[in-house]
Amino acid sequence: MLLSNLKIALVTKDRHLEICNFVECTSEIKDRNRVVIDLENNYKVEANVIITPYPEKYLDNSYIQNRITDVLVIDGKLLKTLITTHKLNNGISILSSRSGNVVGIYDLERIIITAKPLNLYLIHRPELLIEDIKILCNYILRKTQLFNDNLSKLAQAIINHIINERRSSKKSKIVNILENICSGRIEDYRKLPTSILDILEEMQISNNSFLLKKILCVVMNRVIEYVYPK
Amino acid sequence: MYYIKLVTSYVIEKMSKLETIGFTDIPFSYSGVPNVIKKYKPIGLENEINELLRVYNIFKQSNENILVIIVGEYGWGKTELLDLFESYLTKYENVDTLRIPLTYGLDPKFIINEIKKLRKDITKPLILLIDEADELTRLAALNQFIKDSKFQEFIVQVGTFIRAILEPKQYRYILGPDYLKFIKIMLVIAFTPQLYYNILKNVIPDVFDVTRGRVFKEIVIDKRIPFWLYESIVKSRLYAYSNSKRIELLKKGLIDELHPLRIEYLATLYYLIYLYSKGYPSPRELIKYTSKLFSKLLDLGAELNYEIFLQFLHEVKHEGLKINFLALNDYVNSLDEQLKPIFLTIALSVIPRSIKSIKQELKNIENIESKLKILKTLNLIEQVYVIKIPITEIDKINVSELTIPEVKDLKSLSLFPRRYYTRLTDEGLTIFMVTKNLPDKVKEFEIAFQLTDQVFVQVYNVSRSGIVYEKIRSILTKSSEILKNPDLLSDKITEIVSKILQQRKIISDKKGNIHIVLIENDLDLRNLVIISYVRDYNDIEKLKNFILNTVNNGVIDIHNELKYFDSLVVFIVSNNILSEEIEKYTQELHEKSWKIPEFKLRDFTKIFIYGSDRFRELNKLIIGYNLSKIEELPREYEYYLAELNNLAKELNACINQFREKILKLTLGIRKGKESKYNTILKIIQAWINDEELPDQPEVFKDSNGKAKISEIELALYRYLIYHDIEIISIKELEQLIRKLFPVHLWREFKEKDLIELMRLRGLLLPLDQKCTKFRPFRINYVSQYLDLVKKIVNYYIQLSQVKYVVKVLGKEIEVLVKCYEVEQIINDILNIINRINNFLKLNTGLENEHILKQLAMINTTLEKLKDVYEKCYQNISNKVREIEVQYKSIEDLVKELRDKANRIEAINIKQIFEDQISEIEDVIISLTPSKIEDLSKTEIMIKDLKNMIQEKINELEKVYNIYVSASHQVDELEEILLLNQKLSKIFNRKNEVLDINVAKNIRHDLEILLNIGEIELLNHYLTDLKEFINSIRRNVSTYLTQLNSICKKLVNSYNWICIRCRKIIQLPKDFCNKSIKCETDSLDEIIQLQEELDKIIYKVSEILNVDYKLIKCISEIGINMGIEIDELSKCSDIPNSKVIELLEKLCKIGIIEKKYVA
Repeated sequence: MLLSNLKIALVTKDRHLEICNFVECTSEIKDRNRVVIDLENNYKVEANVIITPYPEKYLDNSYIQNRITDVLVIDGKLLKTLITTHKLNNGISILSSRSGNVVGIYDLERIIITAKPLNLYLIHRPELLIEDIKILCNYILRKTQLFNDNLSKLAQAIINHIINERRSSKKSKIVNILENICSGRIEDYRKLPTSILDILEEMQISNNSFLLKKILCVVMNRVIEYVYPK
Repeated sequence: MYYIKLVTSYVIEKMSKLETIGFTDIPFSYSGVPNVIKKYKPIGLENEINELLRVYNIFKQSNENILVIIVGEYGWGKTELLDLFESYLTKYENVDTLRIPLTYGLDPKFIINEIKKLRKDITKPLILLIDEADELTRLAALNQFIKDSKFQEFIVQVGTFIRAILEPKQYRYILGPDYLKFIKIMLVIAFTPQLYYNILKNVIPDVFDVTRGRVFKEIVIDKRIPFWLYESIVKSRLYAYSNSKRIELLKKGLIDELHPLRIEYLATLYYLIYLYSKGYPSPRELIKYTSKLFSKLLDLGAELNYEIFLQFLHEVKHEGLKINFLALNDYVNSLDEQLKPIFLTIALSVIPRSIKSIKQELKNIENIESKLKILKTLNLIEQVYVIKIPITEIDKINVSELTIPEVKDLKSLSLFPRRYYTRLTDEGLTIFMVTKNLPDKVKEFEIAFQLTDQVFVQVYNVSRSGIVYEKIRSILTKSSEILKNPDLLSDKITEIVSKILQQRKIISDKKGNIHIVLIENDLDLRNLVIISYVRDYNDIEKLKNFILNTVNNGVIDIHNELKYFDSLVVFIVSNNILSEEIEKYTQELHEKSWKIPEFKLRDFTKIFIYGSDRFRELNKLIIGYNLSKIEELPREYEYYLAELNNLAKELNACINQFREKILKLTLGIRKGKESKYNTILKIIQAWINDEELPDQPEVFKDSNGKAKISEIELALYRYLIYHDIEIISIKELEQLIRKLFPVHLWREFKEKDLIELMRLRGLLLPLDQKCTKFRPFRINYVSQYLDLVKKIVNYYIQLSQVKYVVKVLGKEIEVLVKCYEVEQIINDILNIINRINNFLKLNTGLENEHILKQLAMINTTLEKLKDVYEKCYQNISNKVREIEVQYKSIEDLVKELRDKANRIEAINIKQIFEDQISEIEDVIISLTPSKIEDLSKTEIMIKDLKNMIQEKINELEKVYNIYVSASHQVDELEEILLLNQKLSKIFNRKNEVLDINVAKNIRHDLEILLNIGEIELLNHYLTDLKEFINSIRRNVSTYLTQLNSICKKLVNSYNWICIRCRKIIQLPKDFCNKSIKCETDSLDEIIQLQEELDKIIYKVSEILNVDYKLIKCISEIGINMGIEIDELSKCSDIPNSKVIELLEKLCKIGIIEKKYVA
């Protein structure tokens, strides 16, 4: 997802509002490669980035802690058109409100940001809103990129281990552990080699077992795809 | 030249006048000093010259150098005495004399050289006469001169010179190698008492003192010049300067010796000077005024008479000699002209005038006797008898009625108007007694006249003189009565003592036959006088016991009031026991102790004993005292005063001694600006540290200036120990101090200060915390005292923790407070206690003073503890109060905020505010611990809290203001939206219309933003909102400008329909009666009309089957207006051909007329 291709769509109760020349106006809401401001309560949209005051539509309750209105300050700039609405819990945090509450997470599939534009900017000078969204996207893309880099690093590390293991034994221990974790069989991730644990620590996910499991599963799939191509 | 002529003629005239009245020169110098060429012989210095000659005789025999001092006031005849002595020596003795005036700056070497020149024959004695020039005395009187170093040097030089002459051998270096020339010298120096007593005796006591110094004899010139002496001085001077003519007349008896003066007026002059100089007329004064009178006579060339004398009195009245001219003139003016001279001759004479003397003066007046009678009947004058008694015969005359003055020495007999006067006659000194009633025994007398008592008293301004002798007589007779009555006697002695001591605050009481008098004085000793009249030895014994008891008690009960005293004077009187006996019995008293063990009774007690043998002296004392009250006491009675004076001298001397001792018992501190308490602490501190005490009195310092325990403290301490006093209350102690010491003389110091001082020193050990009871310091009491100190310390430890309760938002907070300084001091004290306990345990034989100092250290530290505690406590309570105030102010702020929140109408926002306020309250409560232990931290905390809350409040305040402005804006928005909506309808722009819900949404935005409270954001939002509103407003204004044309079309349409379409369609009732306004406030009506018209046009188009748009366009053109085909086609969007076709159709129906179609 590149910023130059950014498409912004607004989904409201009444209509999809084309809010500016930046936005590729489309009624097709299944295009993932865009930013959707979803102010509609009823049906889900699909997008890489969803900005919505209704996070419950996309996340289960364990992610949503409570309602908190706050502002966003990105790279020292106060966003004047967007207000965050919820504090989120799990997931890979990529955005915090000014007072430090997590308001945006990355669940490895998409980015959910609990926020809504101020009504005024939907009907008056929407370019301000778009400007803010650009800043926001720029930021979260950087953040996700960083995360993805780490993820690759993690995968590479695991691959290296597996390759090392394969020389000595038939079945990879790490793969075994990862499989156990992903399939829900109880397994302590601490059995993983230290170098991998260090990377998990660096990614600040080692103390969140839910997230850990999810990430490890994703990584494992990628690794297996790579190590054991079909 | 003229001036010289004038002077010479004046002198010649004067000389010729002198000649005519019989003198060769003026007998009296104008200034009163001896004449340069002395022709008279001084009179009245017989005693002094005799004494001088006696000394001279001693000198002659011994050949030792000798110093005689003559002391006499100005004008008392010092110079004359030296003159007399000198003339005697040159006449009768073979001696050298050298007369030198002692002037300021006189070089002693000059005198030494003079002596050396003179002494050719050293076997011939030299009499060196030095006369002090009065200028020295005058210089000395200018006090600063005494301090002048030159003057002092001079005085010392004089002293050295005198010593050198007296002891030539020892002073060779001054006198030179021929010092042997300085033997056989009699040095006679005359000084004034001012110079002699005040300066020389003090500065050079080794020379000028009879007892210790080198003065062989002091001759004090008798001050007294009685009247007879005055008269004879005048007489002898007149005689000395008489010319032969006058002497001849004298010899013939044609004039008397006083001529041209008169004895009567001289007596008056003498009496006036006597009054003026308060009984001691000096020769200089007498001669000066006599000279004035004489020169007046000289000017007038006449004899003295009443007229001249009256003039003279007028002239000198401003110099102090005065008679009452007013009274005199009153009497004179009331008289016939002929009577006046006679009255005046009598009135101006203080001695009675015989007819003979009046006749002599008033030669021209006849019938003097009858005129005297008239004056007598007018009660202005009275007739008296003058009885002449030569002094030699005084003993022979025994006339009690006369009360002849007592003759003790001749100089005491002088002149006393209306009673007697004295003159030197051929029979020697003679008294002239004046009496109104002639005693039977008296055969020789002279009748004379004087003023009546009443007139005399007025004219001479003397009130008592007439009564004086009556008084004296009664005093003399009453004294024996007083002596017999012990009570009266005691009262008298009391009076005498108080008179002598010049005290007025007197309280007296009587205990049995013992009289007690306390003479109190706030600034001096309090003297107790005990007077007892003893009849037997038993009485003496009782008196002794009484004295001992009183002294032991130290207080005396006078009229049920306890009184303290510093010294004791006892008068023991007895008419049947000898003084010696009484003394023997009372002797032992002196050795008894006086209050403080180290003092003896004799140190503060004086006993005067008047036994039977001294009863006469007592009598004399009492008479003397009573006489001393009489003003202008006749001279002859002055000797009675001697006993009184002796007593006064003795009493004053011993009181002075007592005072000296008592002053040693006085205490005082110099406190300056400091408090007394602090000064005492400083004294103690200096003593503990063995430091100097520069600012405090000597009593607190030793010889090196270092602090020490004062004698008074030690005396009290010794007293307590001596009397074995174990425990004494503070009240008793104060009383004891008052009893033992002259507390009233203490400066800035009271009994309790002494107690405090001794307590701090450790000399008094308190038994309880409040110091109500004490015991004197003893080693074995120390540990007990230390226990008390520990108790006190514990008490302070408890006190040093204080709990306060502060209320914050209904929550009670306990504030626990500790004074750390107090703890520190307590530790110090405990350390000292341990140290002392160790000393005591080891019993290393330390000196008491060392332990005392340790105790003092404890005591001063305890004081500091109290002090620090007070301050700390004060500090803390101030701080706690401050905290309370701070909390209160926070509460107030919150309350203010709540009030503001209540003003907010929007419930949501209000809720936001209230939530914020509750949050603030929560913060306050959560940040305030229920116990505060460290005040300073609390202070900081509260400060931070307050700042934080204030910040929050400021924010809320801003938010509130924004809220207010925002709600205005939203209201505005709502209005403009509504207008916009209506206008859009009218202009048929429904798609562009902004939902009225926009306002609601904006309100919602604002709520959120207010909730967040981010000011920047809010402001930004409000700016954008304003912009938004403005954009709508622009839109609206565009509409409004076009409203008129739209409305016009509408009116055309309306009118057209009402007229043209009536036939085709039935219009609603009253539809055509409307009046249509094209204004903004009738938008609703316009919209309604538009809708109604639309419906009607629609119906019409249906009925006619003509395009709706076309009909609408036609209607909008209006009635009777030309219809342009092109325009119509444009308006209705129908091609021209079609329009024409339709128009044709419409014409047929009759809705339009053909003539209007272009």
